[in-house]
Amino acid sequence: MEQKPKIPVENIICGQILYWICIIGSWLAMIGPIISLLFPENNLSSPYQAFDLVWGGKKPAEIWNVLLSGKNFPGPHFWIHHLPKGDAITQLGLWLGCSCALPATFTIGIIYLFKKDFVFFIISMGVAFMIFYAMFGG
Amino acid sequence: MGKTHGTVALPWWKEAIKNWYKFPWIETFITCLIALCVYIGWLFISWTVKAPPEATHSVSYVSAWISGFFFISLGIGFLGTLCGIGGGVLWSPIAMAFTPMNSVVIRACGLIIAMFNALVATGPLAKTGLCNIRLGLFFMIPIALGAFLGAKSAIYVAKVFGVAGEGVIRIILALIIFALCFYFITGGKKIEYPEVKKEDRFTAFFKLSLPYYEPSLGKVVDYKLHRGLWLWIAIFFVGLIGGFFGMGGGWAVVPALNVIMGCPLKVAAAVSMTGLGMGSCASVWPYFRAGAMIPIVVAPLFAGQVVGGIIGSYVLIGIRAVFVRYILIGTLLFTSFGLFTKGTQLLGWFTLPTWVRLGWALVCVGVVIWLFKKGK
Repeated sequence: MEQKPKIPVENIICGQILYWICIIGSWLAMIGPIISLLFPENNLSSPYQAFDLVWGGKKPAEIWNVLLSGKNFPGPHFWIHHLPKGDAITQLGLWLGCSCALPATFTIGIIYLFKKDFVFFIISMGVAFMIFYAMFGG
Repeated sequence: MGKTHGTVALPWWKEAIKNWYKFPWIETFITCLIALCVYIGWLFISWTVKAPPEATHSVSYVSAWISGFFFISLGIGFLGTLCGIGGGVLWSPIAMAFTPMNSVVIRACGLIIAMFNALVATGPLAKTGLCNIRLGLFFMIPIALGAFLGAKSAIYVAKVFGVAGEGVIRIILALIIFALCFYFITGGKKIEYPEVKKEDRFTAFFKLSLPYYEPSLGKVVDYKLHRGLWLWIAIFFVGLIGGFFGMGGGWAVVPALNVIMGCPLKVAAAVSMTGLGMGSCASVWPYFRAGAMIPIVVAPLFAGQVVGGIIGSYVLIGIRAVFVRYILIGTLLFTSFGLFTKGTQLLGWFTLPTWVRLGWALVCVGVVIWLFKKGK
């Protein structure tokens, strides 16, 4: 039997970052809605109408208008100012899951820099920048 | 999957119970326990919890929706991964054809479903040599770019074209799903260990190969890759379609890596999960920023994919996965017709009578039976 080749450290680190952020994000996403229902007065948006509005074919802007009693959607980062409200905890869970590739690609970019692999340093940072731009930019 | 205990290999579930306090079992148990408490336990408890007077529905009504979405997502993630079709390909077309939900919301949910099943699997896969991060990063550029542009286009089309846009999107998706069904039925060209005689200069520059140990062969598999530029072009369009329609691209990325680039099939499957999962982190944000992700609605879908992904990677499947694949092909075939008719209805062209829809359902059943007989 041949000896197994060594797995590059960036493989393992990238995998673990993605895995753990998704796991922790999923725990928050599971618990958040229950907190919303247990403490309904402690929410940014009403938890009782969301499913009816979604199933009714309403557009996102219309849904948020009703859920926030006439206000507009506050943006995907609203959890920053509204923790520990139930829907903010749920949003944080989703936010973590949807952004997990950013720390992963940034970290492996740094690893490639230390390994003096400048091509993949640039590629990793390029992907990290794309994700960052998608999160906060245009 | 099991380790030896003495001379007898333990089944995965015995190993899990024996090593419950060790990674990866402890987080698996915690995740499953939270899911059990939230989506089953809370469902019963919610009957006793009173909603405030101004609430439009009871707590149990909302809890039932949450649990329903979780179990739908769990089923989609499990079946889609089992059959190699992917969850996003199941969710978006079926939801657009048979539910009244807005297509932007459907597509946002579809990306969540496509994304998290892949991302959770990346952790265990990355510890093996199958998950080649360099190759994943290599195709992440075109797929992230394509998917981001696709997602932005989806939001724009929905805003500008309204109901007519919804109709056109459904018709185009119907044609794509129909073509996919044809591709799944014919099997597509797959080569387990492609032979690449020479790497081209563009691909060689990136040094993408990563040898891995293949247990079934008992040896290290080293491989060469080629046609990297053609892969970039193909993957860009896969990303564009995936981002626009809220589907994953595993159905296209795996054959592209395998057939265009000459990547071993197992490596292609592992790398596609990593690359798509990470690339989708760019395409999901236009939907997120447009408010298409309603937290209480999307959260159970996210959880369902994570739990389904964890469980699916450990469960030994007793049934032949290929038969489940045939049923899913029949379902997608029926769905493509449903999408087409819904699209024509939204555009005000025509509405097909019920007997035509029933006739098509019978055709789909016939196709599934034919596939079963062919498979035997």
